[in-house]
Amino acid sequence: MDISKYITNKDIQLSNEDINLEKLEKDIRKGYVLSEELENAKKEAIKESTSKYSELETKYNTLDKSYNDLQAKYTEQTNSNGALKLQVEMVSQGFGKDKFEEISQLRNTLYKDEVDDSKAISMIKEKFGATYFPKTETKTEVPNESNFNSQPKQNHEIKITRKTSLRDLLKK
Amino acid sequence: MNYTQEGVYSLDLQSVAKRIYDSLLYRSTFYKFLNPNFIGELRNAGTPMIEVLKSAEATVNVRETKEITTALTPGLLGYNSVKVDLTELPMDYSIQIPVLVAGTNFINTLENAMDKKDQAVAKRIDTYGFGVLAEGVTNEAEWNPATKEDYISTLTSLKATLFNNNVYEDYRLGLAATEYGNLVAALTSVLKFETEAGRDGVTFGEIANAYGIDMFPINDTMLSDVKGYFYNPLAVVGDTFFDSFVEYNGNYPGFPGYYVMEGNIMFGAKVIEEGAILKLVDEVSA
Repeated sequence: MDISKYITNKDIQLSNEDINLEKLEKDIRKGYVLSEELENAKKEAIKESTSKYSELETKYNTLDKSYNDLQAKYTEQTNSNGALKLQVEMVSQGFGKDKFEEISQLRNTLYKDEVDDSKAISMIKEKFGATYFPKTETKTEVPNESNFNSQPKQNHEIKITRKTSLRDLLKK
Repeated sequence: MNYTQEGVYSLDLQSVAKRIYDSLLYRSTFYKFLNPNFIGELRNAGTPMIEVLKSAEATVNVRETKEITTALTPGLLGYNSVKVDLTELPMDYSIQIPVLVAGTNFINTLENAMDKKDQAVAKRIDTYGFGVLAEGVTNEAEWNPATKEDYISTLTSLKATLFNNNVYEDYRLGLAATEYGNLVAALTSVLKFETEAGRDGVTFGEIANAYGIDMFPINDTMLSDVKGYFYNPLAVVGDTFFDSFVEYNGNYPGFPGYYVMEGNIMFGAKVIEEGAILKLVDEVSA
C-alpha cells in the first residue's frame, strides 16, 4: 500500500513511513470480515445456532414427553375414577364384586347414552334383575326328630352301562 | 391314515372300562355270588386288593341291678381282617381290528368285538370263580330230590340250615343248568296257579323265586362233582381290577392302520364267611 496515492492535497508530503499503516488498516477494517475469513465465520455461526437449536429441541422434547405422560396419567385417573364411581354405584345397588366387569360392559354398551351412572345401573337392575338377583326359595326346615342326618345327595356322574354306545364314549 | 368315514377315533378309556365292567356284572354268573358291598364301582386305582374287616362277635353283659352301680366294661372291638387278592386271575383285554375288517362302520365293529371279549372274560371269571368255590366251601348239603315234594322239602331244609347259621335274609341258589331246569319244572307243577306267587311266577317267568329264594342256573361245564351252591352273598368277596388300558388309532407298531386296544383285567375272589354258603352235592361226604 502506497499512502501517497491517496493524498489529494499535493502540498502535504507524506510517505508510508509517516503513518502506522498496520494500525490504520486495523481501524479501517474494524467491524468488517476479511473475504477469506467469510466462509469460516459463516460456518462458525451456523454451528453455534445449530447447537443452540438442538439444545432447545431436546428441551422441547422432554417437555412434550412429560406433558404427554401427564396427559395419559390424567386420562387413566379419570377413567379409573369413573370406574370407581361406577363400582360404588353398583355396590350401593347390591351388585357383587364378581359382577363388576359384566355390569360395566353392559353400562358402556347397552346404556351408553345414559349420562348418569346411578340411573344406568338402576335400569340394568330393573331389566336384568332376575339374572343377577335370583329369588331364592326359602326352605322350611323339616324337624329332624329322630336325629337322622339327611345330607343332600351329591350329583351323580353319568352312569355308563353295558348298553352305552361307544359313540357316546368318544373323546370330543 | 383315515380308515373310517368319520375319522380316526379316540375313546375315553376310563368310560370304556366302566362299560366293560358293567358288561361283566351282567354276563358273569359268578358275580351273583359276590358280596354286593364290594362290587359295582370300577376299581382301577389303589392296591388291587379288598380288605374285609372283621370284628369278634359282640357279647352282651347282663347286670343284676337296674341301676348302674359299678363301672361298665365296654367290649373292645378288635381289628382283624381278611384280604382278597384281586390279581389272582390276570387276563389280557386286547382287541386288534385290521383295516379290512373295520370297513365303513368302525364303532359297530369294535362294539361287537368288545361284546365277544366281555363274554369270554366273563366266562373265564366264572371258571375261575367256581374253582374258588369248589375249594373254599367246606359245608356240604345234600341235593338229591326225587319227587316234586322232595324239591320243596330240600329248599326248606336248606333255608333252615342257613337260618340256623344266623343268616336271616337274601337266600340264593345257584344250580347246574340241568338241575335248575328240573327244579323249575317241579316248582311250576307244584305251585300251578294256586298261589299268587305261583301265578306271578309263571307270568313273569320267575317261578324259581316263588320260595323267597333267588335262583339261577350255572353252566354245567363249570361245576364238577357239585350240583350248585346255596348261599347268602355276604359269603364270598371278590371283584375285577382294571389296569393299563391303551388304544392305538392305526399306529400300532408294525401294523399300519390297525386299531388296537390293550388292557389288563385281573380278578380275584375268596370265601370269607363259610357259614353262609353250602355246597350242594349228591351225597354228603363223611
